[in-house]
Amino acid sequence: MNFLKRAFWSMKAKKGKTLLQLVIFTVICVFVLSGLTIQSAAKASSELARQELGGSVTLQVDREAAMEKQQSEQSESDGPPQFTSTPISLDDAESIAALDHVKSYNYSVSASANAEDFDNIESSTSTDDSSDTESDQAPGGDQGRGGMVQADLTVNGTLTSDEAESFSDGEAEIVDGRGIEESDAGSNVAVIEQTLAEENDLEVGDTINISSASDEDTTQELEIVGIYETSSAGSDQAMNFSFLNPYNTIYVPYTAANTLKGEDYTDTVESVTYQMDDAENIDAFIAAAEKTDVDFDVYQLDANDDLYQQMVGPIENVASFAKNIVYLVTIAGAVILALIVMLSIRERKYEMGVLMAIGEKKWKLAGQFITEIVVIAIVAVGLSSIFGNPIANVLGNQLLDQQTTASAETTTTSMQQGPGGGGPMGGGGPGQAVSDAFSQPSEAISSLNINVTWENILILGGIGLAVAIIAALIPSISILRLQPKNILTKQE
Amino acid sequence: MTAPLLAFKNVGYWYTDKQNPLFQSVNIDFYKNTFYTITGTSGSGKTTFLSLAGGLDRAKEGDIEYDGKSIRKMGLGNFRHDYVSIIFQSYNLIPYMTAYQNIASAMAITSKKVENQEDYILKMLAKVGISEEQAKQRVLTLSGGQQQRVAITRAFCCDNDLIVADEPTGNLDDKTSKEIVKLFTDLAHQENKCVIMVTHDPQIAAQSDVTIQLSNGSFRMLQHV
Ligand SMILES: Nc1ncnc2c1ncn2[C@@H]1O[C@H](COP(=O)(O)OP(=O)(O)O)[C@@H](O)[C@H]1O
Ligand SMILES: [Mg+2]
Repeated sequence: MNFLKRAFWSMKAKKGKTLLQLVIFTVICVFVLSGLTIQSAAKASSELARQELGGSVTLQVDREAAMEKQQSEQSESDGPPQFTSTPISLDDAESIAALDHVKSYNYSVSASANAEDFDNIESSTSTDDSSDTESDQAPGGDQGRGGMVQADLTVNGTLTSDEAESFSDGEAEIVDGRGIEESDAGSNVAVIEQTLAEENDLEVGDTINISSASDEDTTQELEIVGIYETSSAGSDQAMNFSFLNPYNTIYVPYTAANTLKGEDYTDTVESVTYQMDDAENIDAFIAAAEKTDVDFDVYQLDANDDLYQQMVGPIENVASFAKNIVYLVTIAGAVILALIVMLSIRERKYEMGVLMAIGEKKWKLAGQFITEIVVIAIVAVGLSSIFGNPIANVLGNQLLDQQTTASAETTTTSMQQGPGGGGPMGGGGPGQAVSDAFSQPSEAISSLNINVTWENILILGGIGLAVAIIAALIPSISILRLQPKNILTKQE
Repeated sequence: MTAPLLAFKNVGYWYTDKQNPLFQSVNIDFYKNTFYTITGTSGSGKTTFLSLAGGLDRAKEGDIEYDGKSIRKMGLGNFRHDYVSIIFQSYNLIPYMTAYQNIASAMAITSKKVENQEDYILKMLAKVGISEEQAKQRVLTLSGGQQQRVAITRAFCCDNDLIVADEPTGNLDDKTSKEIVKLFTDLAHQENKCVIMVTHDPQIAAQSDVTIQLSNGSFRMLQHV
């Protein structure tokens, strides 16, 4: 093991060169480690974001396509344009639910109804400055009918009320009894709002009677199984229309809502929301869904991952930038170190000649070179794992700051183009999506929790070792090809 | 007479022009306990010849045998490692090491083991006039004569039977030269080595046992009595 000793003596004797190599190697390692750490922090953050946000895909009628189709059909007859949508059959909904990546799914059917044996919460009649034209945005439940319908209540049919939008948002919460469950399908049960219950002295176990807003003869007796509380203030229109008052929303199984809408709607739903196991799988899920028998001329699948995209966009840019840093610095570092080693090759050549004349094995000569640089590499890796953490933090968060500022700017500009640029946002409607995005531009992940992990250091060690060996091997090869005689006699 | 230690058998050598070789059909035997000198004009091929003897280069024709075995077959690296110590005009010490480290490294490479190596090396260096303090400083800080003494001590400590030296006194003054030649003579006669030294100094040649005069590819052996 004399070559190890020689390596040590050589490094000790040439302190200046050793120090220079150590500084360069440490700088390389700090950058590589920062890159690695930022990358893994970015990955962890976007994974966390994905898990928190999940992501869902909504299957609903493609209104534009349906409208076009109807307009072309109706241009022959002279009647007023009527809009009828084709509801989604349960078979279609279930065939897509059976695909991979679906964590859970929920149906949505909305209908309007009038209260028969109780009083709905009256909206205040104060004057309202919103123009009447706005009321064209009728609630979802009546789109099928066209025109305007006055009704007391909004009836939301679901498969599971826990997964209905206002419950999963946290806006609504069960305070007594239970929510609508999958097993309730087919039975006449309801979950009503606390205020409505209190006004009418209703409790879990009581029954209420309602009638369809479109056909007064269709009535239903519903057993109250749960009472919920909503924190929603309702929209401006709630002032004018009682069914828009959030207190007047009742949740029922989708089958009950279908009954209210009429016989045509048996075994259908208006829209289905599929919760993904991971927002990352949305594209794969949509691609798989498009291969099923479901007619996508009539229906469409909308990804509700805008928020996710907005959040992880900057992070992903940072991650890919960090990856490039790792590549670039590794290659540049290997080249620089190899050059430094080569610069001292003349001196090394002579040394190699002497050792070879004595009879040293060639692999041990290479071993000495490699040892010298590997020792430096190890010290550099050690130093950079001490200094790497703060540097990676500064670097990573600076990068992210730039990215979030840049993306906030683009978000704002795209929003200013109007609702059209907002993209589909599923059930909430385009207007809702835009205001959400406006009010929460800072939803993007704005700081990274950067921590150098053992895994990072291990990878750094691997990269450092590879760089060291390449830097030592390139000159070694050229030296080992030399004949000791030429080295020694040319010296004279 | 005993068998030769090193035997050139029909050895020929050329650098570029095979038709015009440096030398051809050389048959010379070298024995232990003998101090050989090689003389000749500059460019006559002394260094080339010594490189073949020391296993630094391969003969183009013929073969060289050490103790009856072809050095080509045993491998030149192994031959140098096991049997040869080489000393050049420029001392060929490793500049960043001390005298002591140079010798210790060479002993490690040639796997020569002695009890209490440090004492042994220091004692050997003291014999050629290198103090312990000098032994522990970088070799480049020593004078030329001192460096050559270190190189000779290195050869001595490695205890190889064949020692080849290319103008080892070329850079040294007369007085120092004489002392160095004395060391080589002692190596041959007291340590029973085969020493082959290239020199252009006739006085030194006269002190050796055998002088080989090299000119225009022919070798003339002169026995000194
Ligand atoms: N590497 C080489 N390539 C080609 N010719 C060489 C080489 N080395 C030496 N020579 C030539 O071979 C001849 C003998 O050189 P050398 O053995 O060094 O002589 P000496 O040591 O006696 O001065 C010279 O003419 C020299 O020019
Ligand atoms: Mg010469």
